[in-house]
Amino acid sequence: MTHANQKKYIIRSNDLIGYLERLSREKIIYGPVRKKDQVVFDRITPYSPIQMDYGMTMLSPSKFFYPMRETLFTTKNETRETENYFSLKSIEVLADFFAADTVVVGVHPHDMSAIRILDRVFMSGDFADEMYMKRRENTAIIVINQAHIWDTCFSYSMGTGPFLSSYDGCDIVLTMLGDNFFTEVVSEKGERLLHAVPLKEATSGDLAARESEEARVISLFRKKIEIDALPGLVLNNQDHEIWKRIADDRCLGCTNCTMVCPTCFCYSLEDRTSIDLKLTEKSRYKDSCQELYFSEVHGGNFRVTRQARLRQFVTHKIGTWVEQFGCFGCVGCGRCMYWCPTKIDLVDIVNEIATGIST
Amino acid sequence: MNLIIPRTAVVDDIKRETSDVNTYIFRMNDEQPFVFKPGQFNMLGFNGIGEAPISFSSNMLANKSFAHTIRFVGNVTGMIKNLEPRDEVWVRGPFGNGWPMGLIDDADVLVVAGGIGMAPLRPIVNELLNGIESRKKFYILYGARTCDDLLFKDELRIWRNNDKIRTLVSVDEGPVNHKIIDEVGVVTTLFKRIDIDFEKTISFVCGPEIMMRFVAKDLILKGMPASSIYVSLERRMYCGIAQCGHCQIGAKFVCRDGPVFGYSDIKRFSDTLL
Repeated sequence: MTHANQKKYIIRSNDLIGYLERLSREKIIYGPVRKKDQVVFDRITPYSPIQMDYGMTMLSPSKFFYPMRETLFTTKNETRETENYFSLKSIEVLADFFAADTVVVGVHPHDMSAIRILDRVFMSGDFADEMYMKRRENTAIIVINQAHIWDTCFSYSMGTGPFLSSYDGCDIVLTMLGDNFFTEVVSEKGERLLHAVPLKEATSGDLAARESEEARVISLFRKKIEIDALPGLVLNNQDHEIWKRIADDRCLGCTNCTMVCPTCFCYSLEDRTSIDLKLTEKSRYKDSCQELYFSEVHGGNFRVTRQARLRQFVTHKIGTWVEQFGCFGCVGCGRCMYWCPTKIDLVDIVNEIATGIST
Repeated sequence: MNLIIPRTAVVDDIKRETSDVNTYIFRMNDEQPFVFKPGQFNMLGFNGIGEAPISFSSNMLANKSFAHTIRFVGNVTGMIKNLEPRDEVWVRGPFGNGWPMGLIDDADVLVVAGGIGMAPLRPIVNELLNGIESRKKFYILYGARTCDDLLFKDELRIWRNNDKIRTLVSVDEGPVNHKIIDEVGVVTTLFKRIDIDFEKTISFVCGPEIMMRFVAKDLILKGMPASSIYVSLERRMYCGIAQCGHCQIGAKFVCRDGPVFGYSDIKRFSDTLL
């Protein structure tokens, strides 16, 4: 399904990729690049060209907007006295925002949906996050519809893929058609970005080719989840024996699932002080509910068992998230189960609760 | 605005409550306004050490001042123990929703506190003392481990001498005949001494989670609707602004949606002792 309002063009792949690679000498462009046997999101340089035709990356491009670790501010101790140290007044905010015209290219539709979910976490309500907001404003996002499906991907069931359905928040949407990109320009930012690229108006034939490509990719999905019953199904089964069985048999508590999840937003704050006590850095780093200490309070811990922590991960993503943010916290990218050392599978858990049949 | 950047406050006064609890009067050290409601909390912190969420134990005082009653248990509170008048702390806040003060106007009120849980309830008592003459029934039930662990002892005497308030005290262990002790046992042992229409009473409860569980259970058995029971929860918050995720109970962020919850609203989730 394409969107009627967008301007639609055909661009030769080499033209667009060549243009973006030339552009990467002037401005910061992030995109999928090959590193040894993996494709990862990193800065595009002449030595790391764009790899537009890729499958799953370990970390999603939402890491550019919400980094795994970032410094929030630093304090400087100008005096030589250590006793004044703990209540310093000179706070320096590190302006570690993106430059005004950063581009993130090659974002898969489910990862775009993940960024839209983080928008709800960090940009709505009374406590909008300044750093996240600035990065979002300063960045153009070029989405590329998926051409491949991997075993653990179920984005079609979650309504987030394989082709982008909601165009809010991105600037250009690409679909690979042979040697060409079917290109939909969503925003003015996207329009400006393409001004130096040779464009050809898309014909109805191109549109039909895009439709049949979408149908082809949809037909590749093997992993499916029924979302109609979802928030209720897991929330009403918090005492189901499956949590204990899977957690005790297989969960290693390694936190991989939450670290690779593109929507996991939990963090901890940390103070780090230089050895001469002159500089302290307040930073935040992505933390995980799978850590034992995560739910610690004075005198106890509210999720002492692995069973409780596994249940928290699953019931948050596809249960309580809906009440919190009005959407699922899962986009169906399948990273959690791919990177799980024992292949704990969220979809299998849900399907077993629903049908009683273990897979 | 970056909400992780702290403001500073100065220590104006320190009062010893028990061997490991002090009450501090802090005054905001800048030109910005500072307004809070009973039941909200601040993140108090120190450069290079970290932050901890602490409830207000007073109503708003003059000159942007406020009180925190703090037990020394960890890194941040261990630093607070060393504070002297004119020392500075980092403050972020106020955060949280606060007690539903609008509900107390015409209802009978039951305040149940356990240990350090008296601190966030003290502003309610102060607020109620204002219009005390027209109030029908007002009970304070306060349980502590021993006599030595009771907070606000001076005020406790004043409350007990006010015939408009019924203040009852229990201790887990201690002398039975002590003049300030009504029962030896957990705080629910005081329930047999109160004469109140449970269906028309609002109760405010704060203490260890297991204590709040049994208080709520007993109140519900006596006929109080679960929605009339308000509890204030403790979680180890890092941000205070519903981002860091540590304080989540089901769909609730304790720092933003709480720390005060209607019992029926929070009881439906796992990961509490309630």
